[in-house]
Amino acid sequence: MLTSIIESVLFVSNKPISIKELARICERKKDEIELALDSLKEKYGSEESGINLLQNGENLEMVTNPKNSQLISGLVKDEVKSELTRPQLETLTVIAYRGPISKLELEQIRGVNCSLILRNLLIKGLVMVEEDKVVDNNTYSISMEFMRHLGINSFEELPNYVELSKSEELDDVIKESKEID
Amino acid sequence: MKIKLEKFEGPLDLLCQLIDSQKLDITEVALAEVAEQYIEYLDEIEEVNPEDLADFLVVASRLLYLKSRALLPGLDSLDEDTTDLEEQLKLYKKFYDASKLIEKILDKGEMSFARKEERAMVNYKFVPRASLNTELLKKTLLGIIGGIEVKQRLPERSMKEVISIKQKIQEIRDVFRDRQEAGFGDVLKDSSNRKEVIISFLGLLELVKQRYIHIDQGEMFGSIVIRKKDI
Repeated sequence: MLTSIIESVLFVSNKPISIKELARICERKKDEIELALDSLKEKYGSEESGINLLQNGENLEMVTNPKNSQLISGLVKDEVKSELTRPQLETLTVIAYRGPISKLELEQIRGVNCSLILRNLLIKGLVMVEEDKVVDNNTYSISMEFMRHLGINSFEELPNYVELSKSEELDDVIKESKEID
Repeated sequence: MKIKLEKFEGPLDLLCQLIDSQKLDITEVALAEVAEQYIEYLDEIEEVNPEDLADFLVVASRLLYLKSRALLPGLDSLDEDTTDLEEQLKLYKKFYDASKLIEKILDKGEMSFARKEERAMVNYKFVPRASLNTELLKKTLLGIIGGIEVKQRLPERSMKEVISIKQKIQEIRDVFRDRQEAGFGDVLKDSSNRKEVIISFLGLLELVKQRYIHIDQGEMFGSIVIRKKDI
């Protein structure tokens, strides 16, 4: 059964795996995979489940339930915790709600140049970049690692996600800034 | 109330806090009201990275525009993008508030762990493709260069600093330290060039605006008499 195969693949995999890869491994179509994933997400979505299924765009990963973090962190002691600065937190917030987002759009929201801060977040592995052929038109999204820090399985779990991810005024502001350019 | 600029993440953050401290809502009126304070803060910083400052100045110019619009209602129909700043700020505020919530989530410390990637035990060797040659490198580089959008270069102009209005105003105040009245000529007597004359004149206008002095000119092209206002 497809769901069972995918579950096993996700279990042994030691890094995030994309829907495309799953389709290749299972020799099935992408939408079949997605359907099977829905039932897996339901299986692992309950409060009691020790394992959660985390999805970030196209990528999936099995992770431990964030409620158990205290005990588990004692077991895997290599997470280097470093404090986030306010601007870093603010930048991560915008990317989490609006990602994938270009640097230009990000700067339009924050009102400041964000080159340096993006570079630092990339180095810390909290943000991923998708390169575009046009230099400076790369898009940024939240990494699997930062999702695990938040203990969420999808971005929809963020507070006020619907309002902030699809704000009309935001689209207006961004559109205007593009027209100016 | 003194706030140091370093404490702000950016111009929008500074604006938010100014409006907040006045207990105002984010409206065009509120923006016009805090314009002066905003510029005062910029005035106080002495050394700041020019790129960072640019972001602050862009907002300052928009604030001044809003303020002048509030003073001269006739400007109203000229431009429609004046509500931009208000909208942008409201939006920024939403994300600012959201970042506080995110911070709370992070503070709970409830995170998930994934399987650790095993360190590769294999020693990787660099094996270039057979097709790799200098021609390919050249093509790749040209491809990268082609991807860079050509930025329009603005013509560079440099300004020769003569004397700042601020300095000039101080000089004029000095002239009036021990006298009540002076001619425009007294103010100009140390001016070495035309630019300095213009700056002196601007300085005088500023002092009139501040109600520090009073200007009289009996007839057209007559000599200008400057009097210190009684305080």
